[in-house]
Order: sequence, then structure tokens, then C-alpha cells
Amino acid sequence: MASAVFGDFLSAASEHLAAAVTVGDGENTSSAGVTRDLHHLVAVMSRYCDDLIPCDMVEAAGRNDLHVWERAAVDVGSALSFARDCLRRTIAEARVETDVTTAWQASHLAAAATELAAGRDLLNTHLAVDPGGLMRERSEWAPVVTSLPVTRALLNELARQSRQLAPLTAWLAGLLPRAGPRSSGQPASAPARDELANASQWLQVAGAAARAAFGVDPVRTGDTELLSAIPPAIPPQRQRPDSAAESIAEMCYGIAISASRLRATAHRDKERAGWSPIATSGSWQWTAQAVAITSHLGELALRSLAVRATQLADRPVTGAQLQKAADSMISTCAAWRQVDQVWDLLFTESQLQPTPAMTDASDLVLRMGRLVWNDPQWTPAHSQRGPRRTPDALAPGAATLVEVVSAAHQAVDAFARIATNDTDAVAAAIRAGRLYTPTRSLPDDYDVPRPFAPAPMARCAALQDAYRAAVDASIDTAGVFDELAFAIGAQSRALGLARAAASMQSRRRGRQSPVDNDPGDLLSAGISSMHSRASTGRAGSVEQAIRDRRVSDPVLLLRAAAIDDAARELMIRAESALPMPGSPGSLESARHAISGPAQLAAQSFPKGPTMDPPIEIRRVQSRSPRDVMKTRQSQQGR
Amino acid sequence: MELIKPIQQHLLDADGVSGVLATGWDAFELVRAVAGASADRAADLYPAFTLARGAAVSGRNAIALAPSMPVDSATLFAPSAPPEADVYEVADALADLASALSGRLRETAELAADAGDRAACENAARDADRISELLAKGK
Repeated sequence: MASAVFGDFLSAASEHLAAAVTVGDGENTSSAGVTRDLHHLVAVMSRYCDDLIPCDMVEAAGRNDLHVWERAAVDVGSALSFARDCLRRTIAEARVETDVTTAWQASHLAAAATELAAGRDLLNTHLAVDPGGLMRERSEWAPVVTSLPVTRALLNELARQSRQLAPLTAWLAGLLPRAGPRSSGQPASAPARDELANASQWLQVAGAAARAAFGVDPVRTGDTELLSAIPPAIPPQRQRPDSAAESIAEMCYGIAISASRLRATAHRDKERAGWSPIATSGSWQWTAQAVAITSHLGELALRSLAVRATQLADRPVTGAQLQKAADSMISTCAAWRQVDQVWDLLFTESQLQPTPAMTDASDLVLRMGRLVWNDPQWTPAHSQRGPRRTPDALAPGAATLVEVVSAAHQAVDAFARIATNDTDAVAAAIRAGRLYTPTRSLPDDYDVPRPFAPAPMARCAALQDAYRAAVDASIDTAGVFDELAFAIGAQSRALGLARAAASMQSRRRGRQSPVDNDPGDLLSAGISSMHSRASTGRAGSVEQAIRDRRVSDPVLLLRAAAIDDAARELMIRAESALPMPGSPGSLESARHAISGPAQLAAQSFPKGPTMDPPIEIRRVQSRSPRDVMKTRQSQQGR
Repeated sequence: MELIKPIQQHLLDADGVSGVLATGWDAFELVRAVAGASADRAADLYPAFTLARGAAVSGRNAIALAPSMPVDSATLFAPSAPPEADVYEVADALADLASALSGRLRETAELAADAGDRAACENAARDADRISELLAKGK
């Protein structure tokens, strides 16, 4: 496909990153300029993790239902956000002038950041956030973008990049002067060198965080391949069938374009069937006919390829495998013919109007026909009859054979998508009472003084049965082609990976899930002291106040959550007039005092309040990764 | 094949808007049934017969929307066995029928007083033209 895919951006970013981290001896390097672009790059990487995480670090600490890669997303994301913050403070500490000479590393880092940001934009074209804050799918690739395999591959890549950046960051720290004595009256602040050193450690933490998940659930080759193959949500531009003869490769390319456009249209039209005047029985029936015809033509093409496969010395596939694929096309054709025939006695109140999907399906039929018949002007009309293309003309070599199979795979995959979406759309039309039938076709006891009557339920049920059979047949055929595409290394194999991945979802923040439907939602509008993370899984009033100040320090957030939990417990006790935890003679409250959240809160408070400086909420102290991880481990251990 | 010629004759003999509409319904129904039964008989004609069948359904439904269409005169053809005649001759015969049908429908559209009848006839004539384009031997 000619349009950019995610892999294009990822590859470019990787190349720039590899160039940036290659530190040569004696290079004239400006640490300040590099740090600014490094910060930008790490910020982009951190935003990727923000997209991937199912919950924040604090919530994750209390959850035991996260998949290893979901937890890795939280850990990598947290580490990257700490690294980003360290780098931001480095820039502030060093008081970098904006016109500082940019080193060659900086330009590579900036380019890597730009490529990664563009890749993220591409992924985000598939998802939209509605006014309620929930994520909505905008394309047929959306379930792939949020799938576990893609999450796995993306996190693995981010972790790899973090590991690449850590030594560079440490090297940059070495370029800065050591801190001098702090003058009195200055606010407590880590010098730029220390911030950079901490950033380097956090990048190492990010790199290591994915390794644990990798050990449990390794990243598959197919995961990376699928990630790289993700296209933007904008369908490719139509490739009008050329009036001049197209080569086999051009026809295959055109088929892939039409299939891609059909998949996108099917996804878009699904929601409109209950009311849209362009969703008509005519368009649905025409689609069924186009799929049946294309399946018929595809079967003929595969039979030819099967013959050709026996002739080629370097055949990538056996004739039997291709015959099996051809047989599956017959099943698809038969199922769609049944749909077509059931439509004979059913129709909507609106007349057929040409739709974009019909245009793309027409292109698909034309090109598939021109692959099969040796006539560059072939059309379905009787007048355009011509001889069949010979097997050696259809696939002169193994590479062309693979291309034709790939094109058929694209078409079959689009049919599976159309079948599913049309089934839903027709069900919506039935629910909306949009289907009618000729009165004459009804039994005599129907006394309707008009040529058409509302479709009887039995006919609607027959239509839905026919569509369900078409879905089954189309998906089975797509499965056959998925295997075939893998076997021969066809470019279309990403379609099979996508189909498999869509059924393995990785939870994301903002996606509708059972957690989102929790009654706790009702509480989020008005946070009270009866609401805490322990009771609802959402931030309580103190934690929310901290978050509102854009503080992301996990220790502070854990303490805030513990305070909310303690406050909630206090309120419950007060309302039920029970003894307070820790009050003499109460065994239960003693147990609470040992293991409850109040203890966590108490232990998180500074031990010597008069000796430590007050906590500055707006300016978070820099903490080394080792310290923070130690604190987290000790808190989780309790 | 034995039904195609008589219906073509009925079309020519049909009188008035209602008469042409009723015979037009029958003609579309016949094309639907015969094209559906013939589709599997030749691999190269499968696309043409399949799309012609769809156009016949569309034309029949367009006629049914005409205000002057007699409610009780519409018949439905059950799926039949494939015609015994050569499949290419069947295609030609159906193309001829569709061509005649298109002509009669356009004539009727010009004569019809009711706008609904005119629109129905014109829409159905376009579907008949499509059938003719798909099934005519041409070159």
C-alpha cells in the first residue's frame, strides 16, 4: 500500500535514534541543546505510554487483575514520566538559551521525536474521545490499535528506545560541571548534572520494566509486524480502473485499495442503517451480488494459480493449498447468493442510490474480472466476453502468484468485514421497521390494499439467517486465506494478524469496561470524604486535590490515597458510632490499625515534621529511581 | 424461452398505463427468475446474469410504486429449472425483452398523467436498460 503506515515512522525514528546515540570521540557537542531535544523525545515516548496504560501507578499498585503488559505499561510510563520531569528540570536548571548551537545528536533526537509523534498521531486517528471522555472506535483498525499484541510490541519498542537513550543521557550528565556549594537562601534544588543522571536511571528503569513482562509473555514477531502495518484511519484514495491495460501488479494494488476503502466504509455505515436514506435494500442486495461475483471470479483465479503452482519450479505454495482456497470461495459465493435471493422479496422504503461502497465494490469486480479474463476492457456485460487469461499469463513467476493471492486475500477480508457490518445494519433496519414486501407474495389471508406490506417476521428472520451464514462463510474463507498468506509470505498477512489481535484487547484508560460501569461512577461527580480509592477505585478528595495540582509523584499520591481511605473509614465509624480504630479494648480496630490504609498513611507521613522542610506541592523534589522504587516496594510489602 | 416471447408480445399489446405497468411487472419477474436460473450455466456469464437479476428486482419494485399499478395483477415467478436453450441465446432473448420493456415504459412515462406513474416508469426503464446492457451480445 502506498499510504504511510506506522512502521514507516517507527523505522525512521529508530534510525535517527541509532544515529543520535552513537557518540564519537572529540565531537563538539552542546549538552544543553541535546538535552532539550532529548526531553522532547522522552515526552513523546511518555505520551505513548499515557495512551497505553489502563490506570495510573497508584491504582495499579492496588490491582491484581492487570495483565503483565498492562502493568508494564504503567511501569514504563511512570519511569518515562519521571525521566521527562528530570530532563525538564535539567533544562530549567541549566537556564538554556534558545539560540544555543544544536549538536548533530540534537537534530537526530528532534527528528526521532517528530517521527514518533507522527506515528502516535497515526495511531490516534483510529480512536476518538467523546464528550463523556470515553474512547470511541473510528475505524476497523481501532480494535487492533488497542489490542494486546500491539500494546506488547509498542511497549517493547519504547523500552528498547529507553535503553538506548539511558547511556546517552548519562554521557550528557558527564558533560556538565559538578554542583558547587549551595548558596544560602536558594531553594533546595538538584543540580542539572544530578537531574540528568536521575533521568538516565529512570530511562534504565523504563527499559527494564518491559523485560519482566517479556519474560512472562514474549513479544511475537507477528506483534511487531502488525504494529508496523497499522495504516491511518483515512482510507486510501480511490484508484479508478484505468481505461488502458493495467499490469497484474497494478490490478492487485487496485484491488487492495478498493478492499481497504470497503472496510472503512462498512465501519462508517454500520451506525446509520436505522435511518440513512442511502442504506437501502438496493445497496445491500447489490453488495451481496458484488461479493458473490467477486468470489466467483476469485475462485476462477485461484484455480488458475493452482495449475500454475504445479508448473513453477520455485512455487511458494502447493496446488492443493490453492485449490482449498478456491473451494472456500465457492462457499462464500453460495452464502452471498442466498442473501441476494432473500432480498428479492424485501426492500426498504428508499430507492437505491449509488453509494461510495458500490463504487469501490464495482472497482473490485472489474479488476478481479480483468485478472481472470484476458481483456483489459472487461466488464460484467455479456458483450465483453473474452478468453480466460492463461495460468502463466496470470502468474508469470512466483512473486506474481503471491501478489494475486494477496489481492484475493484483501478482497476476502473486506467481505468478512462487510458481512459482519451488513448483518448489524440490516438488523437495525428491521428494528426500525424499514423492510417491506410485495403484497402479492403474501398468503391470501393478508388483506393489504397496497402493493407493499410490512415485511413479516419470518422473512426478516430468513434474511438474518442468510446474513449469519454469509458471515460464517466469509470469516471461514478469510481464515483459509490468512493461513495461505502466512504460508507464502504475502504482504496481506497483516490482515490475519489484525483479525487475531482484535480479539485480544488490552485495557486502556477511557475505554468502556466493566470498571467504567461501576456504580462508583455516580460518586465521581461529587467527591466526598465517603469516597476513596479503596471504596470506589477512583481518586478521593485529597488525592484529587493533589492531582489537580498536576503532581505525579507516586509517594505523594499514595499518601493522599491513604488519607482518603482513612477519612472514609473515620466517617463510617463516626456514622455507626463504633469505637475508633486503635481505641482500647477493640481487637478488630487493633487489626485495622496494623494492616489498614491508615497505617500506610501514618507511615508515609514525615517522621520528624519539625526537621524536614515543608512539602512543596507545586515543585516536586527530584528523587532517584532507586529511592522511589524502594519506597514503593516497602509500601506494597506491607 | 417459451415464456419470453409471449411476454414480449403482451408488452406490445398492453393498453394504457395500468396495462403496461402490470405487464412490465411480469416481464421483470420473468427476467429475475430466468437470469437467476441461468447464472450457473456459464462461468463467463455469471456476473452478467447476477447483476441483471438485481436490476430486474429493482425495476419490478419501481413499477410497484406506481399509483396506477393494479394491486391484484402482480404475479411472482417461483425459481425454475434452468432453461434448456443455449445460455447465450437465453441472455440475448432476455436482453431483447428488456429492450422492448424499456421502450414501452418510456412511452408510457410520456403518456402518464400522474407524476408518480411517470417517475415509476422512468426508473423502471433505466433498470430495463441496464438489463439489456448486461445481457446483450453486442459485438
